[in-house]
Amino acid sequence: MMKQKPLLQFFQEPAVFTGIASAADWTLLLQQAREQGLLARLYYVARRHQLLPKLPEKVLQHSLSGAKYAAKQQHSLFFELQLLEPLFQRAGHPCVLLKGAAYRAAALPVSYGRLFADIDLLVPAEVFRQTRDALLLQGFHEGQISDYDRQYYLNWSHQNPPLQHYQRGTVLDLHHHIFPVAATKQINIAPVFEQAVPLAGSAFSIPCTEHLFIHAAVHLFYQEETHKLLKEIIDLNALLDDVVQKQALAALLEQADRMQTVSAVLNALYVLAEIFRHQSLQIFLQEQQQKQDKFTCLLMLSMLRGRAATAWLARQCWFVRGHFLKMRWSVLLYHSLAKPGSRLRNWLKTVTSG
Amino acid sequence: MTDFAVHLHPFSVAVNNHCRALAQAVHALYPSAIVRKIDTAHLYDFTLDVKRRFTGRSWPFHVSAGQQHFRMSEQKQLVPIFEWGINWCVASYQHQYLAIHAAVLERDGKTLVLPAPPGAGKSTLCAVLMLEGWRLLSDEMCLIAPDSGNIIPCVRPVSLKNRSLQLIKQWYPAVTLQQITAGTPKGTVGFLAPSPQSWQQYQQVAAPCIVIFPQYDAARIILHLSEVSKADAFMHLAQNSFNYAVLAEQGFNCLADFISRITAYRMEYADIEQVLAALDAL
Repeated sequence: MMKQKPLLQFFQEPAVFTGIASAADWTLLLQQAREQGLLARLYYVARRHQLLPKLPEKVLQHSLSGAKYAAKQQHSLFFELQLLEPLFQRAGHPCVLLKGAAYRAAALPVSYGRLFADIDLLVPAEVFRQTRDALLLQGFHEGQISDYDRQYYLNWSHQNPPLQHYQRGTVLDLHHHIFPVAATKQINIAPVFEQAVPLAGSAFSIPCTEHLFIHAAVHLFYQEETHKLLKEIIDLNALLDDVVQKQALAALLEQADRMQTVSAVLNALYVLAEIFRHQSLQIFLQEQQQKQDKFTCLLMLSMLRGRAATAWLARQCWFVRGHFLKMRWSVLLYHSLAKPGSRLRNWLKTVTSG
Repeated sequence: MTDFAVHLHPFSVAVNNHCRALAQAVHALYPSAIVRKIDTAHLYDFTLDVKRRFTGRSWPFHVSAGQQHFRMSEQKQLVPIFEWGINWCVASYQHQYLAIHAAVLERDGKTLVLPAPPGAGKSTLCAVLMLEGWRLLSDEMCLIAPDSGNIIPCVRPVSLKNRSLQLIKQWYPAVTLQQITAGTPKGTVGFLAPSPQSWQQYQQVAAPCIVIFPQYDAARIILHLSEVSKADAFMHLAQNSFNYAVLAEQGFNCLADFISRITAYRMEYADIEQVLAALDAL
């Protein structure tokens, strides 16, 4: 049996896949797991399903190797948060951990073996500059980026250019919003701050379960990147488990309505129900008045499980669609002309000076 | 089809390859039992891709592991880039072993680990010792199994750079150096095939015994060998490790156990004959 998408199939049905996979399937699975940074997740999923003894020895060893690396990253995260703690203790405004840092701090199942490249922080827009300056004084710097990219971050995105510590190398993504401000779509993030759960003994807080799901859904459905799609879908499915366990599906849609993110959430739920065959979720969605956006979901499903050519075409559409969502048309038009223009100017500079 | 697979120990690599010259070179560098056709019934640890890619100016080869980019390379530099690609896979993804940047050789049950920063003469020493009858376990990576404390061999062609190439040619005129490639990011690089004995025992683990921190010093007339304390040896090895920090507590325990089994020396040398005599006496 030669499968093209062994990684997806493993996460869909770990026991079934483990029972029938051939050596060639496992070879491809190891490769895809490294591409998506999912080796360690594979280990923890196999462990939860009591499949570790059934994994081929090599797969077990490589996934265990990934799990060791993930554990090291998680130690480093707590170390860094402890160093940042005094700064936010003094600050007197909320600081909400997002994505990987939040999952880990809350010890959610999704955080088991999940790798992360940076620490995402959200602060209220009015203290954004002040927080950035405070971090600069702590030894973080913005690194080398072009003037154009810097202006892009500051004027149109929802975060500062990545801040890297000069000694420790840690990268912080400081956010004032969860979605680019240049977009036509306006997302209301006041509920994220209002309902954030404080971490015991810390100045940091984390979004409630529903908001964690909403943020991940917004990230997946309102952007143009596709290279870590599978990882994001698998994360989202784990976050869905938490929502379902809390019996908070209805609350999730209520919150999505308050934050004006209903379409992203419905699309996410629909795709998860399709990919992971959640029957009760399918029934729940049929009972809702509002429906998912068929075309968007079709693109997503094609990218995840379509044939190579279909998936390629879907990725191109996704790229264009993502840009339209992130920037209102005037900004997008300017960006489409100015970014190549700025590259051309830089290239001319190097040519003429060399 | 120019795809091939490298069945090393303890790892195997399947290579989706579009370069005929690379396939030929790799077949010449490794024994036929090691480099074979891709076997679909074998579970490969790593997959590398070597494919042509248009960059806007030319068609160099792109060496990657699927979507994970490693290097772009012109065809004439592809062999060293490919060898480094295997190192990159192993160094990035194997945390089942404690990995130390060091050459490892063995003779009559005496195992020698040579950790060293670049320029200390590690590769030259390693090549000379192998040519003098020591069995090569690795010229690059000392892999220690945390459960048994043994050193796991990873036999590969010895990679020699710049002056090392000249010295080996000068001292051993009969030896063939393969795939000498100028102009790589590390200068001129060439490869010395492992000895037949090293290939015959390529799966044979070794118990740790002696660690030598070599330091080449052209001005030195008489070789100087001095014992290094266990605490110092521990710190040096930790600094030379690729993944000591990743393995955390297990890394500490594994290295502590390793240190308890070895004697460590610092060796300052200029003359290779003196080195061989000193090692015979240990």
